[in-house]
Amino acid sequence: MSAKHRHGPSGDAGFTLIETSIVLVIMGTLMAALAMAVSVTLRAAPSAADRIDDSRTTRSLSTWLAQDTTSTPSVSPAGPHGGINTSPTAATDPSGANDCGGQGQNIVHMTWTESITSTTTYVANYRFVGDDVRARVARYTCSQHGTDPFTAPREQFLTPMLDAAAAPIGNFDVATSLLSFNLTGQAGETVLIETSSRNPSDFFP
Amino acid sequence: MIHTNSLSSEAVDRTRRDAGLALPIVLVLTTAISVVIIALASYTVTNLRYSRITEDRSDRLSAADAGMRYAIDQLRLRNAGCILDTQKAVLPGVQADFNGATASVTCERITSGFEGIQAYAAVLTGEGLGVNDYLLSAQGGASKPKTLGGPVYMTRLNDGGSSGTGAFSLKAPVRIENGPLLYHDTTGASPCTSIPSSATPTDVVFEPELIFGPVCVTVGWEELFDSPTVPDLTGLPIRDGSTDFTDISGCRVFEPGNYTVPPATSDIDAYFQTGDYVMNFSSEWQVRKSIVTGGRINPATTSANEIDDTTAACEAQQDADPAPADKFGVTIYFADTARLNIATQGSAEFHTREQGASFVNLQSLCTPNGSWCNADGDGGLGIESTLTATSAYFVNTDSGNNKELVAHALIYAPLGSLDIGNATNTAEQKMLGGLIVARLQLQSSASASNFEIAVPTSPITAEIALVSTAVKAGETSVQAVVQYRPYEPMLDDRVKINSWRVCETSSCTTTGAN
Repeated sequence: MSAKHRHGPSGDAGFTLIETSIVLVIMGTLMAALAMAVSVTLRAAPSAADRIDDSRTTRSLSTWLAQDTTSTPSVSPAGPHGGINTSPTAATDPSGANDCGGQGQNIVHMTWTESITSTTTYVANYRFVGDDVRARVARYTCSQHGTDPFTAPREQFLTPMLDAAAAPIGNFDVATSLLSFNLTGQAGETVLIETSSRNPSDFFP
Repeated sequence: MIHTNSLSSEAVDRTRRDAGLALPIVLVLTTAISVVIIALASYTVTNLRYSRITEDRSDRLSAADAGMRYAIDQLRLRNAGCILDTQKAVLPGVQADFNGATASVTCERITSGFEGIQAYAAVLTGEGLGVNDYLLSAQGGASKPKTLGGPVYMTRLNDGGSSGTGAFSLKAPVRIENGPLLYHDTTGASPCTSIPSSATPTDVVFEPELIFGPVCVTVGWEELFDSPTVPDLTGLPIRDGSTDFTDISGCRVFEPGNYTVPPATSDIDAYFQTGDYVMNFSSEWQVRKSIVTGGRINPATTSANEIDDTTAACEAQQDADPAPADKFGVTIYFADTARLNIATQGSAEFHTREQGASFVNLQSLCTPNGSWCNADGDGGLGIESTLTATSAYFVNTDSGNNKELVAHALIYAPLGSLDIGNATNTAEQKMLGGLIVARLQLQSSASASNFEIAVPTSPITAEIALVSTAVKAGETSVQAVVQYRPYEPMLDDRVKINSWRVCETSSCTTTGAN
């Protein structure tokens, strides 16, 4: 008896590695089943990646589109001091001779001028660029000082890959100076982009 | 005992088999978890940083935008004090924090405000005067400024201070309204630097003061202003002004001609028929106790005679003027020392007459000199005015009541001087087509209500570049180019925003993409 008390019951020695592994496998199986259930539940909502992409899209566009729209006169179609063209079929000069060129389909094409000692024309061209499956929004910018040729266009891709089948259509309301369009992610989620012009381009007669 | 020993041995074996496995397991798990945590942390930090950059940029844009809108409102309220200065200056009272971004606004006048000026209210050439002789003097009626309505040119602006030995001799304020004060900078600097308004005498007042002030030019008056076109005067008949006239129902009628004796315009009203006249004598042509009217009214520019007590007899002659229907007014050329004096109870009104590209009423003939005097400056007569700035006045009105002079077109005598006597009460003293003389003396009492030297001007517009820069972990600027008319009565009509551009730098250079 004294020896039995000294060594104690066999359970006091703990589980063996085998026993522990078996327990982990069982728990893993249960967790996997639970995770699958949760995954199925969450599948209806956009994935974290999609949501992060959407966030990136919003931030990128708010960085550049807000500035460009702010600078553009609230005129459509463009007048002598610039304006906004949201026609999807708006063609660009591939040579970039009279604007910034660019690939894909037009979302919004903006021009504005500034006259100090001479007139400088600025162009910002947002286009939907990609293939039949995936596409993203690209910004092309250039400028023209006086009668000089336009500067070489600068290309920036602002969004992650989007649903190519849902090309965004720009809409500009002259009365409210509000530019808007929807972007559709690859998971089908949409982000509404809205911004407005602050350039009245007004002159004394 | 045997059973007990068997169990103990089995436990010992099991312990031996597990020994040394815990550490690797812990290490593996720790490493795996660390990798996951580091990746997540990196991703999170990157996103937070990107979000911060985006937020800062958005805050800067909002702040710059707010600063710009505040500045434009200040312009509308005429609180912007940096318009006159052509250097970039900080707009006072605009510094403000918006969303933690500090915005400040500078403004810079990008046009001088006198482009396209077609006419000058007064050009003072200073010809024949020493550097310490005044070009412009104003006496009397200190409570009522003498107004020059339109751009003014003076060949120099040296202020002699209290000694009165500079370009000015002012004992009453002179207001330059709706135009700058141009002057010839002779330092040789190109471009020249205009002196500030504060360097002119305090009695020189600019209106609107936010826009106008001294503006230097690097050339003299003779390069800026050619003499007006003079028609061929050789065909004018020689007339004796003391006898060559017709009195009709109390109105003495003179016809165009070359007068070698001053017209007799005393004690009877007179009408000078539409056309050109030459006064070629060495004495004074005096208008005394007489109302002289010169030429038919051009209804496109003038609705009626300014001197409202013109007699009916002379108005009838004006209506019956034999000149072609499309000809108006008179131009009177002066040679030798001929000059005009408006004396006691004398009045003279000359209507606009077109001479080439100018409208001229009174002009001194000059000998063509290849500089300021054109080849036709003497009208082909080979005679010129010999009056100087320090000799007898080219035109003067005596002091006292009822001396009136109204010239609807230019008075041109770049070597002579013009003296407006101490006009009082409601007497008309109006030079509505401007004047080009060597020296100008203005006198009027505080009661004079119809004193005016002016040229028609359109509202003067200054163009201003406003740059609102916001700082918060970077700089964002909004640059607006605006047209500014500070004296438009309606607030909304004072500022027109031509353009509005956002730049990710503080400089907003005019080239390159945003």
